[in-house]
Amino acid sequence: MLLQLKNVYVSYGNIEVLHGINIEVKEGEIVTIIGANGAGKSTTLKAITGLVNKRKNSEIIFNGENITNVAAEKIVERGISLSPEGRKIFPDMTVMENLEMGAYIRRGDKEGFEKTMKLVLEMFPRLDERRKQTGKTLSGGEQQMLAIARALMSRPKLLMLDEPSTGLAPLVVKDIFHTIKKVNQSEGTTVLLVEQNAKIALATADRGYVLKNGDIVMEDKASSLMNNPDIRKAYLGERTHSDD
Amino acid sequence: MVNFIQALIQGVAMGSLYGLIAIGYVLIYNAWGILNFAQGDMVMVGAFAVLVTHMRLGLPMWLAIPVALLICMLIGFLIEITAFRPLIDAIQQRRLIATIGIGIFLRNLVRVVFGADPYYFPPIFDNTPYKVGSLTIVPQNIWNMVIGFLLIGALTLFLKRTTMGKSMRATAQDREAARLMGINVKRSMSLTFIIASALGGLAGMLICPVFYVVPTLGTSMGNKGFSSALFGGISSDGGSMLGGIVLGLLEAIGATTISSAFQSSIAYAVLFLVLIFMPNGIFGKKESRKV
Ligand SMILES: Nc1ncnc2c1ncn2[C@@H]1O[C@H](COP(=O)(O)OP(=O)(O)OP(=O)(O)O)[C@@H](O)[C@H]1O
Ligand SMILES: [Mg+2]
Repeated sequence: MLLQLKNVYVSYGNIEVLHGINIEVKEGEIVTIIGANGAGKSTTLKAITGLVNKRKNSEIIFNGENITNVAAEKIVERGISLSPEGRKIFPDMTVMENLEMGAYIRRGDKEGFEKTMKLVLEMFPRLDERRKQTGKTLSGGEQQMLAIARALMSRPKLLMLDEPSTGLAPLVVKDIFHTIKKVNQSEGTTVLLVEQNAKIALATADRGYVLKNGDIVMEDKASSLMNNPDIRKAYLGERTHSDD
Repeated sequence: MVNFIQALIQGVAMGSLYGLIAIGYVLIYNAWGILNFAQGDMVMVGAFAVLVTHMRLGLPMWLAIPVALLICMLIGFLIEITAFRPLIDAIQQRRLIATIGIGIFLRNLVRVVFGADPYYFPPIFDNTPYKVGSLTIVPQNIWNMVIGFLLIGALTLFLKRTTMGKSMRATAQDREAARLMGINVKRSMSLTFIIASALGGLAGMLICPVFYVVPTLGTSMGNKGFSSALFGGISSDGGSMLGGIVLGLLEAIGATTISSAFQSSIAYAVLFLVLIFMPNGIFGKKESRKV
């Protein structure tokens, strides 16, 4: 087991938004968490990266180590990187500089850096053409590619992606998910994928969790979830009068 | 014509010091999203620091200045961890007020220790005028110019070329994303304040021989640095250096062509005009910072 969330509780102020969730990710898998707006998907990823505090007794195990209380700036060293919600690329830095920051923890290793850079730019040729352009001048799709590419620069064991499809044209979404699959298959990188676009997420993932109001309400193989009538109704937009 | 060239040299020399002060405002504005109203007082702290190391402790100038610089860095660091770091996620108004408070604190602390009387400080560089043709050149002016330009060059290289500099920029642009990259953002922020304090402090040391050293030195110098920074478009290091030089030039030219009585009011005039007509500064770009 690469990642285990055991009984994870998170509150913002007095409001509890994750009510003791359990999630497991095996090495080499693509796992997706789907759910509606405000379900707690981003909070789950922030809890793993240490950007939000967890309640006592919450436990997060990664690669056999307890990382529950590891500070956010130490998480990437453990082998987890996040392409965050809203992309959060560095707006006034160039594409190259953004990628360099992605490899910040491996800054001593010039050779490894060059190799990873080459690999990542091959995956995202659009970025290669725009090396010197600043982040804020990129299109939405290019920014998303940069966020993923930046997250890959640390050569993570676990790549976490928060809604990579947001705001992008269907063709670009397809392209990005194709690349995610490729990273998983050719590099063996484990992927934890948070999406509102359940359709493409389930089509890409091996397994999925359904998060609803801070609780995991379902967990299954992605293909089974895709065929589950409740899921189809609530998250895949079949019929408009869902009782969600 | 000779007078005019004379004024140009004087203006650029003074302006490069204003630029150094301005860059301190810019660095902190970029990293923290607010103007640090204590930045001018760091100029004053620099002046008093060198007054102590050179005049009181009797260190030779070549040693007095580096030691005074270290003092400025230490004070900048202490201010950052005690007053600013705890407010890192506070709303803008609270952080702004904190900087005003620190400024008041520094001025009054220095007044209590050193009194309100002005101190004389000897020239750091040779200030005997030389005749070059019909021009009069004061080496001190040339040195100030050289130091100003070298430092802005070094700072730019540091920020653009070194990993540490880049991590500081990353922290300034998006603190949360920087943490996800593994950057120690607390250290980055401290470094930003330390560098800004050192630059402001150094400007104060170089200004010492020109003005008397008083606890309120920072108010006038702060206003000039602040005007230069706004003039240069507040978020650009290079722009603020140019802003400083433009201000220095305007002052020097104003003093020779109109009256020297106007000199100190020029900074305020510039400030008003910029705020009214060019809120993004002369070299300003659109804001890209997300607060
Ligand atoms: N910083 C915060 N302070 C207070 N409440 C927050 C904060 N961040 C998130 N919340 C609340 O926590 C709940 C879960 O938010 P979260 O961002 O995890 O949802 P999400 O599933 O990612 O939604 P979306 O699909 O819209 O991104 C929401 O009700 C949200 O309002
Ligand atoms: Mg979200």
